[in-house]
Amino acid sequence: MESIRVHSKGSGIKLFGLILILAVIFITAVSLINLDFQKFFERLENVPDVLGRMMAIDVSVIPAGLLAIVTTLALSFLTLVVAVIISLLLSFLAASNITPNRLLADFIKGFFAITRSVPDLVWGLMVIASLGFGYTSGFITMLISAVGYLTKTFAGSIEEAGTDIIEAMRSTGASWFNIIFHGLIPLCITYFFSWITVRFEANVAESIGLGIIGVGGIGLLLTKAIGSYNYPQTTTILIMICLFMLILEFTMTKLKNRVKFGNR
Amino acid sequence: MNKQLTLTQSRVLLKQEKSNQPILIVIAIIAALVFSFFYLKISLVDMIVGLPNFILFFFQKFLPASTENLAAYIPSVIDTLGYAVVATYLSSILAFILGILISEHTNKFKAIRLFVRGFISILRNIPFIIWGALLVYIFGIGGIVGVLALLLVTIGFLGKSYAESIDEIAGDKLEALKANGSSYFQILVHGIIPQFIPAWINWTLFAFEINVRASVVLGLVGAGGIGVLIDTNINLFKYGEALTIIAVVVCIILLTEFATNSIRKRIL
Repeated sequence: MESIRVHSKGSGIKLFGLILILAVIFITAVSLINLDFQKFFERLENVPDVLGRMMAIDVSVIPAGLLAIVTTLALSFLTLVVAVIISLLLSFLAASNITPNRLLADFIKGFFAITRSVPDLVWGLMVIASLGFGYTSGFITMLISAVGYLTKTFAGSIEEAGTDIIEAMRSTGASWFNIIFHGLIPLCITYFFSWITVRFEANVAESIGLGIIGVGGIGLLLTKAIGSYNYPQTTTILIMICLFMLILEFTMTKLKNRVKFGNR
Repeated sequence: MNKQLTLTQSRVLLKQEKSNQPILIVIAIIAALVFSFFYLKISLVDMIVGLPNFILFFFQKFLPASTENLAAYIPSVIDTLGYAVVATYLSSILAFILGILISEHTNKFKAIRLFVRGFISILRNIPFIIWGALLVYIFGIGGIVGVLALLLVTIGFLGKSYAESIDEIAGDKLEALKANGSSYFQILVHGIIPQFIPAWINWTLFAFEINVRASVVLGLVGAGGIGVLIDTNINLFKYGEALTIIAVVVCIILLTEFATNSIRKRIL
C-alpha cells in the first residue's frame, strides 16, 4: 500500500531548524541579561507580606481620586482637541494623493516616524527638563505623541480614499481646499473619528503614565501613594484606575460604533 | 400618498434631514474644552509658548550630542533587547493558553471564560509603566522585575488578540472534525493550531515591538535597561549624553520595526 504524504517533503527538517533557531535565540537572550534569580527568590519571601498589607482599602482617598481622574480627563481632552486640529492640517499635506508637494509629504512622514519612535515618557523627561513640572509639560508631551500618531493614521485614511474622487473633482475645477472640504473630509470623517477615539484612550493612559515623572492627575496620586508606602491608598487608587479605564474603553467603543454604523 | 407626491415633486434633498445635532456636538465640545481649560488653570500663553520654548531648549541644551561614551551603552542596549526577547517568548506561550481559555470554541465553561477575560482586561487597562512601578515596589529593583512587568503587559495584549484570532478560525472545519469523532486535543492540534499560526506569528512580532518600547521605558522606574541611563543623565543635566542615548533608542526601535516587518513579509 502506498502511503500519502501529509506534510510536504523536507518540512520536518525546516520545522526542526526553526525550533532550533528559536531555542538558540531564547537561550542567548537569557544568558546575556544574567537575571539574578537568587536575589529574586530571597525577595520572594517578602511578597506575601506586602500583598497582605495591600489587601486593604482606604475610602478617604476616593474624593481626591475622583478629582484627579477629572484632571486626567481634562488634560487628555484638551490635548486631543489641539492635536486633532494640528494633525488635520498636517495629514492633508502628508497624504500622497492630495499633497501639494511630494517632498513636503515625505518630510512630514519621516519627521513623525522619528518622533513616534521616541517613547512618550522619554519625551516627558525631556519636556520636563526644559519647562519644569506642571500641566503645560504634560500638554506638550502628549501633544507631541498625539500629533505623531494622528497625522500618520489620518494620512493613511486619506490615502486609502484613492485618487478617483480627487481627479473627478479636479476636472470640475475644484480647488485644493474644495477637494478637501467637500470631497475628502466627508469621506474620511468616520475613519478619523475612530482614530480619535483610539487616541483619546491612549492619551488618558499616557497621562496616567506621565504621573510617574510628575505630571498631575491620577497617575501622580498613585505615585505619591507608592512613594509614601501607603498600601491601602495604593490599592484603592489602582482599583479606581482600572475601573476608570474599563468605563472609558466601553464608552469609546460605544461612541465608535454609533458613528460608524449610525445606530442610535 | 399625498405626502409622497409632494416629495417627488420637490427638489432632491441633498441632506436627509435638517437637524441641529452637529451644532449641539460642537457646542458640547467647546463647553468641555472651556471646562478643561479652567479646571486645569493652565495658562494659554504657556500652552502656546510651550512648544517653541521646548524646541529652543532642545537645540540649545541637548545639541550637540556627545558620543564619547557610546561603547558604555552597549550592555544596557543588550539588557533592554534581552528583556524584550525573554518576555515575548514567555508571554506568547502563556497568552496562548489564556487565549484558548477565553475563546468560546475551545472552552465550554462560561465561568472560566469570564474569569480569564476579566483578569486579562485588568492587565491591559492599567498602563504598563504603573505595573512596572508597582512591581518595583513589591520586588525591589532588578532585571527580573523588568521581565515580569513586560510579561504582565504582553499577556494582557496577546491574550485578547489570540482569543480573537481563535474565534475567527472556528467554524465548519471544527464541526467536521467533531463530527468524525475527534477528541478535544485532536481538534486543538489538527484543527486550530495549524490555522492559528499566521495570526500567532503576526501578533507575536507585534508584541515584540511593543516589548522593546516598553523595555526602554521601564528603566525609568528602576526595572533595568537603557531607560535608567536616560533618566540619570537628564537629572545630572548631561543633556548631550542623554540625546545620544535617545538616538540609540530610536535606532533600536526603528531597527526592530524593520526586522519584524521583513520577517512578516517573508513568512506571511
